[in-house]
Amino acid sequence: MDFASLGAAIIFAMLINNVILMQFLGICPFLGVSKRTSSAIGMSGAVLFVMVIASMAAYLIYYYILVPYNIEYLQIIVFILVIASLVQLVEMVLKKFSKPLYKSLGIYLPLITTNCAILGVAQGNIISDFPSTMSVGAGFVLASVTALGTGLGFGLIMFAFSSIREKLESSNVPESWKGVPISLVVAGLMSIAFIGLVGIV
Amino acid sequence: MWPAIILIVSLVAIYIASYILNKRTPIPEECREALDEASCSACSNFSCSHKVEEEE
Repeated sequence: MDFASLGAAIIFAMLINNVILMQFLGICPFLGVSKRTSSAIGMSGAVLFVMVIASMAAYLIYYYILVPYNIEYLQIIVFILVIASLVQLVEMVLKKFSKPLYKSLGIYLPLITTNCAILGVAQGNIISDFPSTMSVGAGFVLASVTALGTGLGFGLIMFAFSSIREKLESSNVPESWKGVPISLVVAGLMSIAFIGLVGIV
Repeated sequence: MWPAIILIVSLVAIYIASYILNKRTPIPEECREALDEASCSACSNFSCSHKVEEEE
């Protein structure tokens, strides 16, 4: 697998198949934690961190435990438990060993347990079925890179949307459109704009 | 059948252990300010360690 394929996978996951605007996953933090840019950046960092680790763990568990024992039907419940445990472990490690990182990401980590984007990416990597055309190792690298690209795409949209919402607060918006209504209109327009990127890769 | 049961039981055990360990790890003093600022109330995540501490 060459760097061009990995680069294409990152761009595809980040822009073309964006987790929020194209797959409509992770809408809760998209609307709930995007009032301030600082909160959006913190949440994006936490999602990126957990998404990459959870995708790697889920991929390995699927191909080295679930497939050999023919218990693939358990994948959703297994992935949920893996993600929930990982979030608890990551939070604990950050509390203990990386106080600055905990200060910026810690408050958002519990929210990630219930973030469907993390589960969606872990599940998507399995559905993509990389090992049917490549080795499990190469599929693992591609799954990790896809998770990285998806996390970066999540962060990009969170940052852009939070910047727009901050700007909207000081704009002359009609009373009935203030708050969530105008945010949803902006989200819809952003989604339409991202459809224009389909076909790049 | 048995691999499925063993897998689920072990994952649940890992989750419970990680939850207890995380709950027992104290929040660093310098991070409490950031948690107070966040003042989260809308989230219904019952396993959130911040929420549990607030309630206590």
